[in-house]
Amino acid sequence: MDKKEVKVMQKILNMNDKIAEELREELSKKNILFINLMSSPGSGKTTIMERTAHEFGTKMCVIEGDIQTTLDAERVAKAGIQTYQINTGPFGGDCHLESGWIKSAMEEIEMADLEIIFVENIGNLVCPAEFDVGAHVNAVVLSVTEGEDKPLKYPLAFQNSQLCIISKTDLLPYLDIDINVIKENIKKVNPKMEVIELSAKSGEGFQSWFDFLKRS
Amino acid sequence: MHEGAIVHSLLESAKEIRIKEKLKEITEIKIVVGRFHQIIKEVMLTNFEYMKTEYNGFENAVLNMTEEDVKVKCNYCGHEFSIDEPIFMCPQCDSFETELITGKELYIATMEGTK
Ligand SMILES: Nc1nc2c(ncn2[C@@H]2O[C@H](COP(=O)(O)OP(=O)(O)O)[C@@H](O)[C@H]2O)c(=O)[nH]1
Ligand SMILES: [Mg+2]
Ligand SMILES: [Zn+2]
Repeated sequence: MDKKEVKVMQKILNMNDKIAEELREELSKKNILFINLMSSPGSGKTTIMERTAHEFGTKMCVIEGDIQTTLDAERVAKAGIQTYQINTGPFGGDCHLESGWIKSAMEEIEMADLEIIFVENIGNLVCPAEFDVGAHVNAVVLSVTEGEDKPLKYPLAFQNSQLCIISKTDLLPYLDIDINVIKENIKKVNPKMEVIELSAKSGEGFQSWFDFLKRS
Repeated sequence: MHEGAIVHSLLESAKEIRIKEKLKEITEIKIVVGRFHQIIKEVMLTNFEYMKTEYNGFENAVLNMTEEDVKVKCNYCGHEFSIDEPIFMCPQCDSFETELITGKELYIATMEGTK
C-alpha cells in the first residue's frame, strides 16, 4: 500500500488557544481585566474573592470552576456580586478549565459596568497550568502552609503566571516556614514573577493586591 | 488527568488533517512535547490507544512522542544551557535574566497514512 507522510506543524491545543486569544481581545476592547486564579485546594482563593468583592462591589464578577457543588459561588454571591458556576461534572470531571467553558460562561454574564472578571480555576496546580483560558493575568495563589518547595514542584503553573499571591500570612508566626525561602524558590522558577503577600483573614497586604488590580 | 484532554484535542485535529490530506488509514502521528509540560508519555500513549478506536481511519495508528529538553538563554552573558530542574539561573554568571527557548512545545509534527 502506498504511504504518504505529511508535515503538520500544528499546535495540539490550537482550538483552545484560538478561543482564548479571542476572549482576551474581546475583553480588552471592553476594558475588562480578566484574571485566572490557580492553586491547590484550600489555599484561600474563595476567601480572597470574598474580601475583594467587598472593595470592588458590583464592578467585578467571579466565575467559579469546581468539579462539583455550587458552594463557592454561593459564598462569593453573598458579597453581592455577580457569580457564575461552572461544574465540570462529578464523575471523572475535568481537573482544569478550558477556554470553551469560559466562553460559554462569558455569554451568560452581564458585562455592562464590569471592570474585572476573575476565574477561580479547579483546585490543583498541575492541569490548569496547561490550558490558556484567555486571561490577561494568570495568578498562582500559594498559602504559607503548603511548604516552601511548591514553586519547584509545580514549575509550569509558576512559569505561565505573572503573579504569585502568597496567602494566609497571618499564620506565619505558628509555622516553621521562612517566607523568604518561598520567594527565592518563586524567583528560581520565574525570575519575572510579581509577588504579593496577604492574609484574607486579617486583610493585611490587600492594599498591594488592590494596587495591582488598579494598575493592571 | 489532563493527558486525556490533550489526546482528545490531538485526535480532533488529526481527524481534520486526515480528511484534508485525503489519507485513508493513518499509520503514525509524530508529536513533540517539551519537558516543561507535565505530560507523562505512558499516560499519553495509553489514552491514545483507548481513544483512537472512536476515530475512523485511526484504528492502526501509532503515536510517536518525542520529548524536547528545556533550554534556557542567559540575556546577561549570552550563555545557552539545558536544565533538569526548574531553576532559571545562569550557571556561568548566576544571572536570573534568562528566558526559556525550548521546552514548552506541544505540537503535531507529521502524520503518515495510506493514500
Ligand atoms: N488563617 C487563615 N485562613 C484562611 C485564609 N484564607 C482562607 N483561609 C481558610 O482556608 C480554608 C480554605 O479557604 P478557601 O478560600 O475555601 O480556599 P480555596 O479552596 O482556594 O477556594 C478556609 O477554611 C478558609 O477560612 C487566611 O488568610 N488566613
Ligand atoms: Mg474555592
Ligand atoms: Zn549568564
